[in-house]
Amino acid sequence: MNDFLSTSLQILKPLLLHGFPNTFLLSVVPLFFSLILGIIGGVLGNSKISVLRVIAKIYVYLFRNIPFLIFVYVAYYGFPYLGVNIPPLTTAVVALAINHGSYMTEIMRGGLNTIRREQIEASASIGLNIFQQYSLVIIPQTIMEVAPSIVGQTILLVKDTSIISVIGISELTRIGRQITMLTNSPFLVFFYVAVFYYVLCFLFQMLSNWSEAKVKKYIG
Amino acid sequence: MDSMLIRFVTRNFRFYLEGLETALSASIISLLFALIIGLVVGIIRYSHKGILGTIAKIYVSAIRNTPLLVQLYFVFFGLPRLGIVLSAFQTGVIGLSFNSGAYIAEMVKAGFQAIPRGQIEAAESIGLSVHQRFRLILIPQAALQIVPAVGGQMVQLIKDTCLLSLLAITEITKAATEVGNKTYMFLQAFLFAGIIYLIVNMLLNIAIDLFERKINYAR
Repeated sequence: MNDFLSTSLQILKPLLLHGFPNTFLLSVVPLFFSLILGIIGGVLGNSKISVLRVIAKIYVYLFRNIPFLIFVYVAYYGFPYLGVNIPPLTTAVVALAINHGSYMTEIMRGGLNTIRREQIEASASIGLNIFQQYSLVIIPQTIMEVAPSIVGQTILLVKDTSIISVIGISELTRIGRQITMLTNSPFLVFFYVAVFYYVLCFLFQMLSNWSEAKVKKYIG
Repeated sequence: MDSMLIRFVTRNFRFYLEGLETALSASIISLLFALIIGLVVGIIRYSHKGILGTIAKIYVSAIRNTPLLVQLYFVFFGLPRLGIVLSAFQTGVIGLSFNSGAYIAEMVKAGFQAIPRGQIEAAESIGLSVHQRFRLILIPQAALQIVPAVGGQMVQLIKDTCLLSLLAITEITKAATEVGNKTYMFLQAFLFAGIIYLIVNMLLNIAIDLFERKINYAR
């Protein structure tokens, strides 16, 4: 029993001190950028210009049908190939943001469709230009509308951060693998790693429920 | 550049083809197991409230809220500790099956819930047993409902097989790593792997669309 406790402590310490915060940051920072990409992509996807719509469509289609791991490798080897030397951490953030930006694009595109035409006409009639229409009227409403799906997508993002371990970022999964070699108890290690992910996803799930309730109250 | 690319592809195509074969067989076998797991767990989720229902609920939420890679490591490094020694491929298939099974269980449950309550009452009133109700009324209708979603899960499974490369299974991504190691053209190797995934999933999407149209005719 004492043995179990000391092993657990040995496992939990690095996971809690390094793994969890790193995974958290690796989730939140790309989330921010993926949202921006999603808004841009969603607006393009609903554009009147067909070329822009096609570009948004291809963007979504590619990332939906090619595994994220491939994109991580392509980014990892591709940036140096293009002469861009950035640290693996930046590569990881960029890859996560672009990958999940495509899913956010699809969510935002669907959300933008739910905004009624009158809203746009009304905002045009009070003299807002197209940029103001989007930034002041359409996008805020859309985000309220799709907030629950965005948080749901965030859970997928949290899970995808585990794949980043392949390019040497010390997050939960990679630290877990390293501890396995030290403590020789893989069952326990990956159980604890899974618990950490579960907690993180659970937090976002709570946020999702909270936002859903908030949105319902707001919209009525 | 062009001739170099063609040479690169023709020289290494064999590796990718072997990888594709492994990836496809892993995803098809996993889908079959996942369908069985999903059906059983889905029925439990739909109709049991007691301990069995709670276990099913924990299973689904544990799978859905943890990364597949961690689940695969758990099985890959954990099973030998329990004295269960399997090949990497078998462990990979087990991991993928249990992962997809949880998602399919939710689809099955949603499929059952979409069936109007009146049908079940009607089935009860003509004296069908629980077993008959599932076999004759619920499952056939739910099965049609969830075909598109299961097709989507198959696309997801093919994408997920790339993680098997981290268990040292030579599927498409691992084949690309090997080609990269051999030629030092890592970027091209992985781009080509990406194209293979894209083509396979494109074909699959077309098949799903055709099937969906056929079902809509049937309705």
